[in-house]
Amino acid sequence: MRIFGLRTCLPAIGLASALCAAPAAAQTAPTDIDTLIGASLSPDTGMTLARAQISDRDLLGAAGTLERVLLAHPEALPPRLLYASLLCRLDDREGAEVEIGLLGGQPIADADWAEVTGACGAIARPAPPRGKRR
Amino acid sequence: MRRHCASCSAARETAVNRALLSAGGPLALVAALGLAIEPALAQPNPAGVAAAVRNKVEIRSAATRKAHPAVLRERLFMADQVQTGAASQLQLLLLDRTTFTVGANARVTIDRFVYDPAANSRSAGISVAHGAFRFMSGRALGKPGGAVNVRTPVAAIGIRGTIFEGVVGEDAIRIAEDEPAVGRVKADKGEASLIVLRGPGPRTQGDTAPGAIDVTAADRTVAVEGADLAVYVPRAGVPPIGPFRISPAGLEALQELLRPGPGSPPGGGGGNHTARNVLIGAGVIAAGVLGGKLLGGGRKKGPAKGQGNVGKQGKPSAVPPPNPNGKPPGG
Repeated sequence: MRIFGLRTCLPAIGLASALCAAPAAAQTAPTDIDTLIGASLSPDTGMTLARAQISDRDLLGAAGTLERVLLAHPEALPPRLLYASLLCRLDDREGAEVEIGLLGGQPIADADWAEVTGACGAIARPAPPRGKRR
Repeated sequence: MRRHCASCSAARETAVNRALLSAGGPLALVAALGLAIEPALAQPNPAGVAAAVRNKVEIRSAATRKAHPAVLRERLFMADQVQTGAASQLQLLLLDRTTFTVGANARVTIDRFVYDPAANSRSAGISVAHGAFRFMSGRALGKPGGAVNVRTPVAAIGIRGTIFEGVVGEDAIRIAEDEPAVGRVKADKGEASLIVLRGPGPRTQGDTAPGAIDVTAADRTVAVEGADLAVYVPRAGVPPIGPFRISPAGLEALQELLRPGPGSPPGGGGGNHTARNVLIGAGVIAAGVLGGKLLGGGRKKGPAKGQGNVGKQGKPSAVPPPNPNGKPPGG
């Protein structure tokens, strides 16, 4: 249905327009509050924004973005993995381990896991579930 | 200079309201004309925005003294109170880009918020009467300096650029009692406060600095400088227990109050999501095209009809204080 296309695309278009609004700021993550919120509505646009903020060295901003995403989409795996790697970069390894422990036995793509180990070093990869932890 | 002074605005609004209420017709008319001529003066500036809303979250407006379901992007003002239900959360994004997450079963009030990006200064105070919360300093717009404090019924937390979490009430007792450093102590179900510094740690990257907080209770201040160090204040009149390193189980229990796990259903609360997202997308495009605007002032009244809740949405100090309940911290 056409409306679903709109629904899915508009936040992404908004984020893209914000990222491209000023040539000088093309490499810079947006800081306007409404843009930050709009870009956090879906896991995909939230990940894009968080990566832009990380590139901009705004790790706290990226963590806030991913927390917004995970409030609305607790089931989304890639944002939680990126969030775990971000916690390691903020030197909160225990927090990262809690996040990874929540994943249970969900299959994790090797590329996603490589990002986690790149930030956290050696860390236990979740085993297939024998029962739900929570 | 653009100054966001929520307290000034609230005072201004109160003064105007008082004039309208108490004055006779002519004076009220003059006041009303004043409002029409310079709307910016009549409208308070927001302290922050509801950036994520999950399940049952209500805002009790200081202006109207009425509660209404929180709405995504709703502006929050000084003295507004946020109240959450079970399995419910709200992320408040303050104008200085500080993120304040209100966890489940919580009651939180914005006591004070003054932010001046031009002068690079801010002053903020938040009270947590009950429930879980997470504070994360904002980096954007030039690391503003100024006092930021969070208060619980029994503790005051001074913030030195940081990520920390806490919980007030029964959940604080439940988590703290399982910590070896605390054990069973006499605690007040309405006031017990557990506070955990989450970082950033000393090896943090990016534009962040290691975090630290000072927790004061019963005229004693404990400096907390190290990720995942916690302080517990079981009741009024006793100094803080700790700092002690919180256990992984304690940390996980706290996270459950602050963020839903992967097994949780998507957040919800009704509302027309399609219409909402179209509107949000349009708003985002407008924001992107216009770019750079910090945030407009002006109170947005409660939720639009039919919109409803759209939330799909240390290092220890050198000499830790004694445990007032007989059990030594860390033991």
